[in-house]
Order: sequence, then structure tokens, then C-alpha cells
Amino acid sequence: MAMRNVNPAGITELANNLIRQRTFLREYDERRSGLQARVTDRERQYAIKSEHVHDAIRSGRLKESQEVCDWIMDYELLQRSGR
Amino acid sequence: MNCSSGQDARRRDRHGWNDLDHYLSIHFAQLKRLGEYIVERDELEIDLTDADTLRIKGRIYCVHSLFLDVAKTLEINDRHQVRTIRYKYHAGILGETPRSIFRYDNAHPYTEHPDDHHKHFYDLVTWQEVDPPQWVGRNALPTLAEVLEELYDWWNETGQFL
Repeated sequence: MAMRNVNPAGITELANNLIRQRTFLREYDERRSGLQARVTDRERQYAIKSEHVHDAIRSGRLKESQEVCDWIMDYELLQRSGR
Repeated sequence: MNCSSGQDARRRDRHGWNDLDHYLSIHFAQLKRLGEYIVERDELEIDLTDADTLRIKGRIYCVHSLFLDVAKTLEINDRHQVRTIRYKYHAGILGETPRSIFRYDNAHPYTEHPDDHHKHFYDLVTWQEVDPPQWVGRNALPTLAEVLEELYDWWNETGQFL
């Protein structure tokens, strides 16, 4: 079996890189979970699916409050991060 | 359009693509400048929500119990340039009950507006929103610093007399 020749400094660098990547991926997952939770909360609160928010505002069933504005932005972020 | 007029157009577009480091330099320089007379505490968080999206979100605490809630979504291109695609600047004043003063955003397109950029107003007696939101337009859209300056002017001209 061919062994990769890695010196101790290289191993430390590799470990540090993996830890940085892990930290980033964890933070990414936490942010995405937070976005998903907020969007789900709003959908329950207003009994409207996120994809129907603009129609609901247009029809007068929903007002574009600051909370709704945040909801729209969170939903769009969630969609972007799931592309 | 010739080359120079194209460059002029880009120069005039304050909300177009901007190098990330330049954008952040301006952002922090403006907040530092505004810290001399209006901004007391900047609690904005700046982070990536995915490889192509930057989010700026949080509250800027200002003098006289004023505050500005900011939410901005910026897209990032392969040249590490950014531009804002969604934003909300919600100005208010803290008290027993926090009150809204005005809000700029482009979260929802109103059919009677030529584009998504508009401003919400609030009645200063009832503190309820006054419908409908007023169209602002992309070209007249203020920057974060200009919104903070507007909030400061509001205090001097109106808020302090309420």
C-alpha cells in the first residue's frame, strides 16, 4: 500500500484546516437550522405558506409588517442556501 | 453607449457591484464617522449564509434611544464583489413600548410602484403604520449611513418635540 509522506508540520496544518472547515460547516448548519425554524414559526403563526406571502399581501390578507418583511428575507435566504 | 458613459453609469450606481473589501471599508468608516454624533453601539452581525450570500443583520443603537434594525442580503460574485439584493432599514425609538418611525425595504413588490424600493411611514400620534408605503425607487434609495442621518434629522426636527 502506498503511504503518503506527511511531515509533522503538515499533519498539524491538515488538522487545523479540518477543524476550521468543521467549524464553518457547523456554523452553516446552525444558521440554516435557525432560518428554517423562524420560517416555520411564521408559517404557523400566520397560517400561510412562505411561497404565498406575496399573494397574501397583494390580496390584503396580510400586511407587510416588519415581522413579515423579516420572514420574506429569511425565506429567500433559505432558498438561496438550498440551491 | 460608449465606454466612458458606461463607466459613468457604474460610478453613479451606488447600489451596484462593489469589491467586498471596499464595501466593508466604507461600511465601517461610515459607522465610525456616525459614531461621533449618532451611533452609540453597533450590534450588526456580518456573516455568510452560503458561498454566494452575505447577510448583515442586527441593531444599531443610537443617541436619544433611537435605533435602526438592519437586515441586508448581499449576493457575492466570482470576483468577490457584493451587491445588495434585499434590505430592511427599520428606524424606531425605545421606550416602555418600542415605536416605529419609518422603514425602508424592498421585500415586497407593490403593483402600483415601478420597482420594489419603498418606505413605510408611521403616524406619530397613534404609532400605527400609515398606508400605503411610498415608492422610493432604486436610484433614490439611501445608503445605511444616509438612513442613520435621516433618523438623526428626524430627532432634531420632530422627535425631540413629541
